[in-house]
Amino acid sequence: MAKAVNFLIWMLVSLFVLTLVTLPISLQTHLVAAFLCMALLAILKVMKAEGNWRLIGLGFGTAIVLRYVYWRTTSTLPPLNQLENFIPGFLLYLVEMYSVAMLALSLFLVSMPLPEKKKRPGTTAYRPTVDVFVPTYNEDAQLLANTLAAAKNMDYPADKLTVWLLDDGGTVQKRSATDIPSARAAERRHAELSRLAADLDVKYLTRERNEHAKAGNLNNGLKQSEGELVVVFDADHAPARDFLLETVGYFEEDPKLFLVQTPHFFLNPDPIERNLNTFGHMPSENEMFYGLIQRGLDKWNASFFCGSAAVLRREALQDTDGFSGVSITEDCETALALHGRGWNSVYVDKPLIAGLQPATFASFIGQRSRWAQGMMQILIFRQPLFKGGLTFAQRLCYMSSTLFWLFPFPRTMFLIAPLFYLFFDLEIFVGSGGEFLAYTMTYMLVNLLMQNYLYGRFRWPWISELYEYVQTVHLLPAVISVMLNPSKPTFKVTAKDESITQSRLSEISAPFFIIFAILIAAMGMVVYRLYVEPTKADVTLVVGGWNLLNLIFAGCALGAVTERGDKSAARRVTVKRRCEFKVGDAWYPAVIDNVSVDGLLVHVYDQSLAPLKAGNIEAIRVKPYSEGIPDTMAVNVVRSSKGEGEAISVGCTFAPQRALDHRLIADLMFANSAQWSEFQMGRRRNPGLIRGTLSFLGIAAYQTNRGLYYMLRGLGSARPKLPVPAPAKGR
Amino acid sequence: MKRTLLACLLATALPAILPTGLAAQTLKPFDMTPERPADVQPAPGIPAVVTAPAAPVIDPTTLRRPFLPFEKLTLAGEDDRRSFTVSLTAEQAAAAQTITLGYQNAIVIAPESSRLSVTINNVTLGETPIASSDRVTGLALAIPAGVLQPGANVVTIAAHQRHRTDCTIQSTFDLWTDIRPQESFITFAAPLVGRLTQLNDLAAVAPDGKGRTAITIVAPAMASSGSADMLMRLAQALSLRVHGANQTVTVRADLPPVTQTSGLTVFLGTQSELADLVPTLPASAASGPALGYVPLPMATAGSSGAGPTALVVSGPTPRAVQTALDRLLPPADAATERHSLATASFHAPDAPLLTGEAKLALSRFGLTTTETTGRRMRTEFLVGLPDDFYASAYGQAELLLDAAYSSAVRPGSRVNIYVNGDITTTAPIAAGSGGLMQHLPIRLSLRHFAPGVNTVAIEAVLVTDEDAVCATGTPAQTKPRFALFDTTEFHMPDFARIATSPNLAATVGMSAPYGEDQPRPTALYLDRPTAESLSAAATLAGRLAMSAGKPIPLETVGSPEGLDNRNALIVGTLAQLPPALVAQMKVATAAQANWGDLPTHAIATAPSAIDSWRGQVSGTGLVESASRVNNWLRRNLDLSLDQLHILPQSETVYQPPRSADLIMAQAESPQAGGIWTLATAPTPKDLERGMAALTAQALWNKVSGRVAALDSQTATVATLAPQDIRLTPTQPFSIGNWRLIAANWMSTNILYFALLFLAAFAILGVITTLLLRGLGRRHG
Repeated sequence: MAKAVNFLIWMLVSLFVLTLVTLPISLQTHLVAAFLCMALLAILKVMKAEGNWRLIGLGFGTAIVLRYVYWRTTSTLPPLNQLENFIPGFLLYLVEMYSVAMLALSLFLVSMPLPEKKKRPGTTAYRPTVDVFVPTYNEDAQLLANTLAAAKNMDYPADKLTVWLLDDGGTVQKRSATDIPSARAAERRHAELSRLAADLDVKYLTRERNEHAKAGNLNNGLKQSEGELVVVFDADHAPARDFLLETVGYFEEDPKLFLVQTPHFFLNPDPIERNLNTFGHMPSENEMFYGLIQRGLDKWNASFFCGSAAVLRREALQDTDGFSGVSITEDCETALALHGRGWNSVYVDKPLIAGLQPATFASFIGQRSRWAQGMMQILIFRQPLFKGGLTFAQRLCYMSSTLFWLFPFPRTMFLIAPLFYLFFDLEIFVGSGGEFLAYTMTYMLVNLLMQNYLYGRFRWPWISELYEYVQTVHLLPAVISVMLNPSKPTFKVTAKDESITQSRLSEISAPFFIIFAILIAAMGMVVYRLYVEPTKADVTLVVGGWNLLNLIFAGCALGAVTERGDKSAARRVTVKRRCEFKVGDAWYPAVIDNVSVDGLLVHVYDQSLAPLKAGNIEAIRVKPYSEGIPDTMAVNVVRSSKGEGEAISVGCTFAPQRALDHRLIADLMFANSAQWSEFQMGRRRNPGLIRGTLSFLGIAAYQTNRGLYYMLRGLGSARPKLPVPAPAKGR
Repeated sequence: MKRTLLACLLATALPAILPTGLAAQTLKPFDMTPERPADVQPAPGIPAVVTAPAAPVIDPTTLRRPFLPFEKLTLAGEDDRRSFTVSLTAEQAAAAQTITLGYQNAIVIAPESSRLSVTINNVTLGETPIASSDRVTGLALAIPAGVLQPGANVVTIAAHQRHRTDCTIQSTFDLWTDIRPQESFITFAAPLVGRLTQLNDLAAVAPDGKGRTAITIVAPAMASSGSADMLMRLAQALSLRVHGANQTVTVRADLPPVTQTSGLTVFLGTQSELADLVPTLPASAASGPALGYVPLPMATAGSSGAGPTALVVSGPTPRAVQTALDRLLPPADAATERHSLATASFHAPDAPLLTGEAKLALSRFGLTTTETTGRRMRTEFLVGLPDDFYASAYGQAELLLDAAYSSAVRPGSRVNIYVNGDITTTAPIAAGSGGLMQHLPIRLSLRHFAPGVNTVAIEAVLVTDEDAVCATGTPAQTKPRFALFDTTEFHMPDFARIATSPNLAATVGMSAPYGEDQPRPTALYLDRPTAESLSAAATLAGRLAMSAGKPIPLETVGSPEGLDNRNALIVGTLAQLPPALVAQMKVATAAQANWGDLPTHAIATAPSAIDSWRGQVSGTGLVESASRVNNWLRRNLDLSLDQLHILPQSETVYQPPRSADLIMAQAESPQAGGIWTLATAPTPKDLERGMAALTAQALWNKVSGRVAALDSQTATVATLAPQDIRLTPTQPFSIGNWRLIAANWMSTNILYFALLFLAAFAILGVITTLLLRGLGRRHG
């Protein structure tokens, strides 16, 4: 009842607000109102106001956006009898309205995200049987060994936990391929992984044919297993020990729960982060999704399955005959289907797995193309807005998630819109300089303010725009192709095990340089027009400013697509853990400083010790967290030096003698999830709009130069393109 | 028999018959045959000159009728034209022989490529090279028979002017040709100037050599009580019939000393009052209401019988005079809505009156498709707006431009739109290889529009390479560069309608609120019934009647108490008005004692000296930076900090400046039931002269706001905008209108909007929070 009254009042207030917004007031009046709105929003933002104040602040922002929409709709469209202006003008209008609609959906989503869940759910007595699926297609055994070992290390009664290696690279179909070398490779893989699985006490499973890609593989796993809950880890997603303890209890609390999703935490930077060199101090791109959007979705019971790092209920999956496989993003599609059947989902905002991101720009784009195409397929085939069984809020949430991937269209339009005027003298946006200042500038500023207010800790100013621009160049054709032929795209596994040893241009960087050149030419046109048409200076300046903004993104993108050589092969994680280090036959007390999947750095405390010789095979002994894990493992000394005080530092690589040793590596590397949270929290700070903008401009200027430098170097050395040198071995 | 019947008819239904031409044409308004035997002779259509060849000396002023309704007509720029109507009697139309323009032009005009032409009723009479820079030359053009018609004739004077040497746009501002009214006239074959025979002929009253149409009312009993009402009624009736562009009414008790063939003399009074003054007063005036023409008593040509005439409004009793006067009123057609404002007498055709959304092609405004070979083309048209027009703060009209430009036109060319002399929009013409603009929308702010007649000017400024080089002969090149098509449309959006007060613009433009139907007649308060005050009041009443398009019922009251709580006009010298009344009008009562005492320039210079020093002293601190912000806002966004106020501002008491000869002020009556308009001056003479000057077409529409002060030295009107505005609904309630009213009100009261806006969204934020709390998953 109170809800209905609230809703009625809300409707009335909205009606009044709309009446105010659609008054055809003068430009000056709008400017004053917009200025006040903006000032108040800025004050609330600076004061980090939360709760009611937060929504009031967002209300002020919405006010300006709505005024802009009213003005844009009623006064800026070119007349219909000038088709050459009207058509591009209307397209620009459409993509702007799309952006506004997306803003509205985002506001709805993140207006009140659920806070972090503090206590562990459920009772300790509730320990249902769990099947852990690790689907693989082409990942190497070493990577899988760590993931499987980490899965085995999870803190859970051993008799209730079964780990499955679902190998799609060694199917009967692959092994009997007509291409003999591939068939042999598949055969070898089948044998190697079967052995690995046996060594680690993991069940190996493959199937006849590679049907329905990942979804088919998982469904095959479902058929062969019978655990009450199902956990999915991608081949590179190694879980922390407490993964199950943090998640399983929710299934006890809610019998209609089908999913507990956890964030994907990555040990390495994505290619753009790496190329821009921001990994250490700026939040990663995905953190906005996992840190905020999923929490917002969770409020509306619409948090969806992201393919890995999640626990699902078998009973629910059986309700929809397993994982759905119409689209190439089976994860979200499955979640949509189950939400539609009345099942619930929960999101736990705590990194409990650590994974790898694609290393090259090309594979990054490959991954994003899959997501974009898959989400488009869901939009087309599943039509979340009209799907039965969903609540209205859930519909909006899924619309937001899928429609987001249309961003290549507005990005493209914003990129080319100034060119219509600069090169072809078309007036696709009717407005004077003063109107532009009063409406468009305030609108843009408010967008930035709101973005910073909402996402500031997770996403720094202009970074969204940069990522969208960088993806747009290759995603636009991908999205258009899926719209023309929705069933065409097929599942492609994203490569994550590449590495870049030398700085070079990405193999798909050419379009970025072409766009940059066009925008530079457009800036030339701005100067020319200012000179020959002084009467149109205000319009030219506005359009020129717009083009300059595009140019800054395009320039920054040049650096973003120039791959930066990365010296360290694997990301190191700091751990402070007591151990014993064996030199010769004696064991010495030591402390592990940091670990990577390849090796570790140890400080050995004994004043008699001299730095060790590289190449020595020594051993390390640790007390593992779980039972069944060997406590000793051979290590290969790479370098050693006199450390502080009485210690020596020893850098060494793991020298696992058997598969089981990987459990110790996993124990060292993935045991503690708290450190991942700490690492993320260290980057989650809001620089504010001004500092963020300045920092972005700095990055953009530097990256433009860097990109141009590598391009010129590439042109200068007119030698044929060499294949990428293989990564140097032996480190 | 016939005459008896007619007399009966006249007594009962004169107004119905008189204006309707044909029947009346062969008959006299009332029987004056015994007194004026000569009057019967000229049959309709036959020029009087044929029948009166014997007159030995004919006063030239009776042959030459001035026709320019302007003090001076200046045709400026490269192409300029002006159309207006000249009304003639049937006799005059038939007897007109030539039309003469006395003109003088700027020395820089190249005669070989410049032309002055005259067109009457779409027949071009001829043209001449413009070549009279050193003196005034008369251009006399014969008028072919049949071109002029009885009643209104559209005269168009057009000038095509090119510079001798210069091709710059700036040089086009140096091109002018002045047409002098005193040397411009239509010549009749007979002394017919000032000779009127029909009631409708009143429209043919000629202006004088200064473009003024002077109406002299001779009323021997003007000072007696009750006669003021009649005088005002007469002045209004005459104004509506004569419709001069610059019209003055002078009231006097005796005969005017000099003979005037232009203008109109009217005798008002009972038969006994007028008998001495008008020897030719018809005998019927002693028996019943008398309305008709008599020979002008003081005219020397009167003896020939064909001279100028005067109008007599008389009767045996004041009541009969009143009846005669009523017959003079034009037939009331109050039922029909006004669709146009009568502007043809100075700018033909009449301006259409737009009362809501309208889209009119330029051809509707009397404009034709025009091409130009020059560099600056200007054309203008008139738009009428209702008195409750309330959209100047927010509204935008649109000009859907149909035009073409040649490939010679270069970037930098533009179309400027002016509204009432203020530039409102500049639209660059996209250049390149020529172009055709089809309904290109150009927005123009409604900020400079006001109730009444508005002038919109379209000016095309064309930049070309030829002009940059300016080789010999370029100024006069003949290849058209720009064309403006008459299919161009003026689009007025639906606008807010609500009456505001004080609003002198609505009063001068549309006679609001006096022109509307009211339960009680508007009160008129005069300081004293002197000739000057009565003249000023009559001039004002006449002008207001023209703005209203109908007579305004006025009731003279003897004391301020009689003003009650109704609409009122107050006319008088400031010193003679009751101080309470002056205070009510928010005019400084102190000015009653000292206004006009001091030389006009003694004090006026003092503040400006301080101002000039203030400008030189660069200040510091908050005040200074605030003013800098203010200047920047004003310059770039047309926004001033003064507009940002919350508390209702009260009107300050207005101190009339020394330089002012006459002020008009408007305020509410004490109980806010009526709107009072004051016209006052330091001296009675100033009042009469000032009113005559202010009601002239050139100044009348400049009156606006709460107070308007006329400075006749500079022929300017200074206005003071009201701070405290009262709104009075005029339209039936509709959401659409109220929405637009709100838009305009909010655009005027900016901070109110801003605060309301903020509050609304803050409430929305709070209620949304509450709503969201209750929806979805709970927190914690």
